[in-house]
Amino acid sequence: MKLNKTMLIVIILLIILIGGLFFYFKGAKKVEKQGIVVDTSNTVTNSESQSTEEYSALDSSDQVLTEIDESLEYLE
Amino acid sequence: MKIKVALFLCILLLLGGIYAAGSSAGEKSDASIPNKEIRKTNEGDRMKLREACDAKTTRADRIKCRLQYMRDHKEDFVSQDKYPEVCRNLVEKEKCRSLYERSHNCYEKKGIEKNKCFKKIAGFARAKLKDENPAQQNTLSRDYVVLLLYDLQEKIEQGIENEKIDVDKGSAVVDKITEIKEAILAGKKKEEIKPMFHDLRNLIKDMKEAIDETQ
Repeated sequence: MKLNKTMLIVIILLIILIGGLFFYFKGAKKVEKQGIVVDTSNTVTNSESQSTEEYSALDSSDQVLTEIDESLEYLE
Repeated sequence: MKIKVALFLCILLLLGGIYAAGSSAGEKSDASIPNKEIRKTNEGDRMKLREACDAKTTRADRIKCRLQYMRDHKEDFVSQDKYPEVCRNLVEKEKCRSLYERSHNCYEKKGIEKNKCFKKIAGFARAKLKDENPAQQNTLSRDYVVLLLYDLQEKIEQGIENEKIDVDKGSAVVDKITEIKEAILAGKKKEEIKPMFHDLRNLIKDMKEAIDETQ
């Protein structure tokens, strides 16, 4: 079977497409793995804080534990 | 011509295969919940189960029973009791219940908005505890920490319902959370509460390690 020009282009495009999809799904899995297990919601649960100057985010269990720890200092 | 048709079919097959693989990877977490195992019980039977949980004599047993119910039925446990578990043994039961009822909407929020909501319910005038009137810091921090602990409990309950957290380990953590909330609302001193919180951190660490081992 001889490869003509059109077939060659199609095969190259196919390889690029497969490669792109492979890396796309690999990336999605990696993000999934980064989550903290206790937080099962569909929120961002890695250690990245979304805090502003004033308020802290409470998306992951670690963020909540830190906030509790700090607040307990103000108890008498 | 035949070659072109064959090539087109091959592309279609490959794309179909990739789409199927991608779909299953994305829905892995949902698929891990064995929906077929959800017990098909009617509301009457479920009500009896809930009453049986509420009637258990110890707090630890009640908590474990409720969490098992949530895991089995994939729904929140709506207690028949007038007061939340943490308010049961308190002198100021109504005040305790009021705090829970007022904070209800906060748990539907996320991130910073949830934090703002908790602080508003706890009566904060400023964004940070350190900026509050020193005479009020004790009272404000008590209500705020109770709301934060309840948030932590909600996350664990969700994990149990989704079968990511074992009921035994999860109920030990929730029991400790309830114990701390009760102590805070009863006005116990920081020196008594801090060691309890230390225990809670250890229990959560154990629970996370157990989850990591199973994954």
